[in-house]
Amino acid sequence: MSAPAAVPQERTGEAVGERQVAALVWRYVVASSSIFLVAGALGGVLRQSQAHIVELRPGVWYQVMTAHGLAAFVGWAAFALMGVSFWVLAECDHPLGRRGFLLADLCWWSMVLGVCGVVVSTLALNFGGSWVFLYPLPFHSVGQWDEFATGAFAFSVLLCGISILAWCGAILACVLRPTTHERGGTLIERLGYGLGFGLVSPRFQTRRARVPFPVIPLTVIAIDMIVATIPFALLLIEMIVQSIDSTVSVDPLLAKNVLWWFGHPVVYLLLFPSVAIYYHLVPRYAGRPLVAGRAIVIAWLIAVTTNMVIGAHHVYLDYPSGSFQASINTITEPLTLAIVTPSALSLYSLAMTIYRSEMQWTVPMQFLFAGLVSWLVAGMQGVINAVISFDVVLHNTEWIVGHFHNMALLNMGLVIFASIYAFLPRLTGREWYSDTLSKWHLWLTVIGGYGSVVPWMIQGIEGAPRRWADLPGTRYDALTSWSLPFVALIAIGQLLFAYNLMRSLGLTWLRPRTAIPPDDVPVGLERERGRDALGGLIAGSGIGLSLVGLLVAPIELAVAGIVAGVVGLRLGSARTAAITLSLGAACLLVGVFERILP
Amino acid sequence: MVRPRHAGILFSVNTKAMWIALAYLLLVAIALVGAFLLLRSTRGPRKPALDSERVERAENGWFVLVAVSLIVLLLVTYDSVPWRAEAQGDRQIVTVTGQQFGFTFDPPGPYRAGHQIEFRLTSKDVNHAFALFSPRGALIDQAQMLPGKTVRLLVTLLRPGTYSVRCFEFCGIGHAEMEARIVVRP
Repeated sequence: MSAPAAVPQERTGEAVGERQVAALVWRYVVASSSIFLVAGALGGVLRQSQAHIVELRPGVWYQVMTAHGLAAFVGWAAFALMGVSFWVLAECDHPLGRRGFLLADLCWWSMVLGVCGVVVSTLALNFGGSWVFLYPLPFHSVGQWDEFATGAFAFSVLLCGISILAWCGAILACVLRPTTHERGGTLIERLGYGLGFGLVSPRFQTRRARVPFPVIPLTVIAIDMIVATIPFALLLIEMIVQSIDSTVSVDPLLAKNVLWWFGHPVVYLLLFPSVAIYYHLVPRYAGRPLVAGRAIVIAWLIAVTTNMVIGAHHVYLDYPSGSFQASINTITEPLTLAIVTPSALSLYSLAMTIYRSEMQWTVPMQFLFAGLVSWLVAGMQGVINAVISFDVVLHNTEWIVGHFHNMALLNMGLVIFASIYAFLPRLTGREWYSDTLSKWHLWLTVIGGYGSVVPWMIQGIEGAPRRWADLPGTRYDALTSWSLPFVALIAIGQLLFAYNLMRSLGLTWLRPRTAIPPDDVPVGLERERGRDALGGLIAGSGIGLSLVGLLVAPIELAVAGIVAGVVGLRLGSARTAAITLSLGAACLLVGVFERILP
Repeated sequence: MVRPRHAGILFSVNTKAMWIALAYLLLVAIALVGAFLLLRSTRGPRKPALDSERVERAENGWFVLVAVSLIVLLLVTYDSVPWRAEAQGDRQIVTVTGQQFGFTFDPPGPYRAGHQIEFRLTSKDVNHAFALFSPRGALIDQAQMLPGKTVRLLVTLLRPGTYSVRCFEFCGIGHAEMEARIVVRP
């Protein structure tokens, strides 16, 4: 087959300009970060309830748990990484074409609508079947929610599934686009290029340049998620139909397997794009190419095949008599352990890339390094969970909650932040407002994150069950209480991130007036200082109003406190106003919960 | 030879869980030392370039080391999967049915200490799980309860006392209230 002549993308009419791609990726970042702040706040509400500060009713707790799980996992982490992946590919000389761009756009819209639907069906329609909604629980609500809520929830999750399928299509459209493969090649050969086979066989070297390493994990997960999502989408469609016609049903064990057929690879929808970002950014800051040999191709070949078939490790403890499940579980154990190899080799490659390099310890690189350590720490927990005989004493305990927060927040989450810190200047044309705030963001997230995760792990070792609105007895209470200050540290870290981001984007209403250089406004400076003092006074009074509202009632006083905070902010007293607004919001939240709960 | 499964309990924590935690802590300590050394290696004067052939050979070695470690882990633990537990002839058979939000035991007990019990676990409505806790509050064993299907869990409870059973699979609004007690006598 003769190779087509290299055609500049601009002439093919199918390339999309860098500005358009940047705007699209930025839309992903903004939407996912907004979802993250909401989902994180919901997580804090769950934890404080278990610590008996303001206890939610069990039904409300499970609704919030369902919303938190799906919004944080899919609506934040997966969504953010899906968006950033397009930018990584663009920087690796695999920019979005028109078809890919349309799919990426569809992906964004269906995810945003899907997450909104999940939030509405859980918090407004009372669906509280947990974010894994094990069939047939959605149809046995004991009066907490109705069939309409189940149908609306299943439809919303289906939209998220469509988003994932669209993303897979967009990634594959990027990698396989014929005009970017100068040496031609069949679809299979171009796919082989994307999987890194070109590193071991010239047949798959369909471009002049060697495949950039970040392309490999993205191609792997795009293939896997198509295979994983389609059966899951069918299960969701069945649930929508059953919500209308109750005579329809499906076998619970089959449904469980289908759920985890999707539920395992979707974890790697977070991990593999994170690996792509590590592969892309760590060599950039280390000033040398990724240190990787051919073994990494074998590891990714293992990943693309085993990732699709190991979901059964989530059902190790389902082995009913007269079924094949025990045999499936037995086979799943070695396959699950096999998927450790791409992580082990990637960690080796990244460590060797860093080792004795001229590393630039920029803010994104600091985030990445902390993420790498967490990947190793949480990955070893994963090996423990993969062993059936260990799973017996850890399955569905708080250990698992600790494990996936360790992995999702402190590995993938830090990678997401690293990529936002690294890419913002090119995506928006603006520099970061403050590196100091960025470093505070890192430290608060890491210290708060581990302070929050470690108590879960200890509780899990002690047999504390997960997904209990109120943990049994009093044995676990102390650790839950100790974790709360760390949860607050995480929250403060994310508020600093949001503030830093908004300042970087030039939202001037957040700017303290005293920050204006005196030389620029010599005449008005005195007046500005006066306004600051007045603002501080008003904002300070808001603190008092909020506290009186909470402790003495009525709670509406907290609203007045918030208004005072806003006025103080407008007058230029940013620091006092920030405290007033935070405290006012917290008091209002606590007061409202106190009022609506028995 | 498949060994019968006994509940190993040290104080109020499952012995196996405790050893897992200790081994894990050791690995984390090693990982943190490695991370620190890696961080330090980037400080100081300019370093010579890495020998890429040597690094690739080391990568292959690392690959083999990881693979062998995982295979050893698999072989060492393979024997103790729950469905390979050996049923004893004089075992007590107890059918446990889960239903939102409680357990029904047939027979209801008390059961004999030191004699194997075969719990036949099933559910009338949704997925539940049967998690058995010692009188001191340590998790002993667990298995899932599926609607319309039966899972067999073989356990030998060595000490007399009142054991707790908790639902370990989310089953709805009353999930955290789904607890029961069983009595084991000498």
